[in-house]
Formats: sequence, structure tokens, C-alpha cells
Amino acid sequence: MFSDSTAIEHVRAGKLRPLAVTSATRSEALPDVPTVGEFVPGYEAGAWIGVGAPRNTLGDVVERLNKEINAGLADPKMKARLADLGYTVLPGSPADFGKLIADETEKWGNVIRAANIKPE
Amino acid sequence: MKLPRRQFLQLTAGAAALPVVSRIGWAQTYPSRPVRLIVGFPAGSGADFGARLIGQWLSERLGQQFIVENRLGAGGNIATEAVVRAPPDGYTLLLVTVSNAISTTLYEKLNFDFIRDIMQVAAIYRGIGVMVVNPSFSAKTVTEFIAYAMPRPIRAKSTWRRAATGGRRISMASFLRRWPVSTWCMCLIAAAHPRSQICLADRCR
Repeated sequence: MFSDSTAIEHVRAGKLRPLAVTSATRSEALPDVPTVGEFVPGYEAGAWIGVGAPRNTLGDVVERLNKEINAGLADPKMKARLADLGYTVLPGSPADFGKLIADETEKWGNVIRAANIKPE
Repeated sequence: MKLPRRQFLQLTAGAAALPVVSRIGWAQTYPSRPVRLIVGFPAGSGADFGARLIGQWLSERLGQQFIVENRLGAGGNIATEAVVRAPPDGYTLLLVTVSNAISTTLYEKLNFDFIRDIMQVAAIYRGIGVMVVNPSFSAKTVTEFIAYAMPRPIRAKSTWRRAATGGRRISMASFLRRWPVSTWCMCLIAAAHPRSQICLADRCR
């Protein structure tokens, strides 16, 4: 089974056995667990999140929210909690987030086309 | 009624300035009421966790409730469309996930263009996926898992068809593309939530 980071607590409790993590490099949250890429070269898959707004939302509002979210990502308590769960914070501008979305859309687009995956 | 010149000028200046003042004032007072943060995945999911974490942070920082609303369905597309159709006033936000990047290619007919219709506000974090098995399962490494799964027939198609998200399915699919194991193990990733419990309960073997 492939799970998201919510599996980490069960791994630590011994209820699940980890075989691999899906990140490109080993995770500080589970340092002894190999990456899938160590068995399947080039493999990387990670879930990420961010915040979006409807098109034409006022720039000042977007900037304000961006600033406050970045303040949260810089907060030592929040950072430590996220690191413990295997998350890496992604501070940056709205444009940085746009680049992440563009890159990931291309990456998964290639996978979907190559594997001919259809929605069910 | 005759207005003194100074008062007249103040009034007209005030009237002319009104749209600008209210626009700036509006942005400065944002948010003046609760903000909805729409999530396309259920309570207990990773996306929901992230939404609640950042929602609570923003509530504390901005002095208004950021209310997480779970709108499930179509791999997150129901939630995305709800935000696309919402007024662009900052009071309806979307918890964007990797599923949005996947859906752009996966679904041919969407009623929106994600990149065009949703403005990027900020990324939050990237998480890891974990490939896990029940501790009673024989495989202890990825190699052993593949050796076990390879000759097994498909056993759980009906369950796995109910998978709620495109994301994890494709994560697995990109794995399978390299290693053509049968999809019996897909059932383990099938139910929407809480995913970990399915493997804990050992329902799929």
C-alpha cells in the first residue's frame, strides 16, 4: 500500500511495516527506510499542497495571504511539527507556487500518457 | 444651500476619492468576515490535515475564522470547480493539491482550466509517501514485495475502482509501469480514508 505521511505514526507504533518512502531522498522522519528509487531508479512521487483563489482575486489580498502563510512556514513550532510528519515546507511567492504547479502538471501528464491511465 | 468653498472642495475630493479609498480600505480590512477554505478530500486525509493546520494559523493571524469545508468527489475536481465559480473576493479559497496537477491531464472534460481559473496564492509543503505493509505480511523489502505480487492475480478491482483520489493511484501506476506487478495490492489504497486503517485491518489479503 502507498500511504501519505499519515502512515508515519503507525510505522513508529509498529503497526505498519515500511518498505520504502516515495521521496527522491530518504526522509528525516524515517531515516532508516530506503527510497523506492533505490529499487526503481528515478522514482519520485510526493503529495504537496498550497492555497489558491478564484481568478481575478485582488492582488493585495493574494499578497496578504501569501505573506501570512510564509510567516507560518517560518514559525519554528509549525516547522518542527511538519518535519516530524515528513513534510518539507515550501516557502515562496505566488509565482514560485505557479512554477511548482507547472512542473508537476508536466511530470504527471507524462506519466498518465505513458501509462495510458484513464479516470474511473 | 450655499456651501463654503473649503467645505465644497472637501466634499468633492471625498466623492472622487471614494472608490479608491474603499478599494484600499477593503484590502486593508480583509478579512472582515469568515473565510472558507475548500478541500476536495475527506476529514482525516493528508490534505484535510494541511488545510486545518494552515486554516488555524491564518485564523489566529488575521482574526477571522478560516473554516475548512470538505467537498468530496471526482479526485478533488468538485472542490476546485466550487472555488472557480466563487466570487473572487478572497472569502473562498481552495486547498490546492497534487491532484489538481494530475487532473489537468487525467480528465479530458473539466468545466474549468485549473491553471487559468485558479490564482496561485502560496505553496505550503511537500510530503512523502510511504509504501507500507501489514507487519504480518511476508515481504520485508520492496524487492520481496515485487516478488510476492508479481504472480498474484488481480483480486480487488471492484474495491480499487472506488478509489477517491487520482493521486495515489497514479503514484502506484508510475511504480507499476516499471514493475508490471498485478494490481491485487491496489485494494490497499482503495478506500478514501483513513487509508492507513485499511492496511492495519489487513482486509485485503
